[in-house]
Amino acid sequence: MADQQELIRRLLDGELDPASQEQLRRMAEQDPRLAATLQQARTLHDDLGQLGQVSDPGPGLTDRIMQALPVRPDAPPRWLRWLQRPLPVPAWAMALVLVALGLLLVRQALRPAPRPSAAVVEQRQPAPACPQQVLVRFVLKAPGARQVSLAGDFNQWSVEATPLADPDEDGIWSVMLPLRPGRYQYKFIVDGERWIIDPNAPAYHPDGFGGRNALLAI
Amino acid sequence: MVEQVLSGDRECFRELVERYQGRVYAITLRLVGNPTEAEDLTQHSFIEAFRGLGSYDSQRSFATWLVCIAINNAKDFLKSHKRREQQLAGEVEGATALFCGRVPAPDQALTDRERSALVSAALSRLHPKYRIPLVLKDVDGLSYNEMQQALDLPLTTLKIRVVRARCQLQEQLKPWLTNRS
Repeated sequence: MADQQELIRRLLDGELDPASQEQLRRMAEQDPRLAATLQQARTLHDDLGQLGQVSDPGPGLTDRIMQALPVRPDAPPRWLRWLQRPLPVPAWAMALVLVALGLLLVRQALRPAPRPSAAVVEQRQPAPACPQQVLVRFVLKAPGARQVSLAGDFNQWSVEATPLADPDEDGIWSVMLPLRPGRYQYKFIVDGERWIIDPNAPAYHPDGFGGRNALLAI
Repeated sequence: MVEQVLSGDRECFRELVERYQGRVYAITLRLVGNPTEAEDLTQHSFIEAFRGLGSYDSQRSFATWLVCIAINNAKDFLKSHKRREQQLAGEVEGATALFCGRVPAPDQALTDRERSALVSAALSRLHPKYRIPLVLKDVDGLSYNEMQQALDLPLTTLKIRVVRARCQLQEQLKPWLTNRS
């Protein structure tokens, strides 16, 4: 039924191709009810078309409108004038800039999610120079930090010996260290004074001062 | 011509009024159903168009832009005045008055004027949600794209509403249509 109504609509609106018109005609031949509906729809459509021709405004409408007009059209809104102003650079150049910005945003959106804000041991692999050692990457997300370093058993808890780097200035600081198999305690130091415990460390050990150190077993 | 009006030649607007007032009035009349109110609204639409001429985008058809203003004014009128029921009564009264107090029998031959009155009365009984798209499509001959601009509705919604409006109208007028078929 809905299909038939849609077919009739397309027929009345002049959207029906000749093949479909023929199909509808054949359907109507076999279905008297559809034939009647179709005929009535056409008649009504013609009647509605006639309505538009009988309306006529009363005399003097033009004069009344002209008398009621304000002195001049309103000034367009400021935002529209701004949009319509002549551009200092060609429109295609503006479009290129917009496309480039769009691509940049898409690229940013597709970048991997930032690493956890805490430090993690991200990578272990045998150190090429010494097969007994493995390379371990320590990472800390510390946006706004001026410097970050790593202190632990492996460097006698030196605050300066093992600095982390943030080469692309995205707040992700890291360092790769060759370590022999064993157990190591460590902490990060931000800006030379704030000691940070790694909340994602595999284990912890009391630091002897009422706190705790991260514990890494290799 | 729009440019001339904008540059200060106010009289140029008269030509636009003369060219389009019939169409604007016809659409408005079919939507609000009352000739006096349709004339007032037509006047209001042209004044609004004149005021907003600075915002008119010359890439767009002036007629479509003007029709959009007229439709929106008619819609606002129907909403804010809540005149639908009164207007329905007026239309039905108008139609029956034409027939001297009686609606013609389905088997009676009708003049063009009587038939138009009958269809107008049936049309005015449709909910504006269906009546407005049907009037724009079948009475005023707007394309679906023009209707989309004017009514700010998706194309599919417009087509569905036109189908439903035609079915409802056909149902109302079935006895008279059957007789003529």
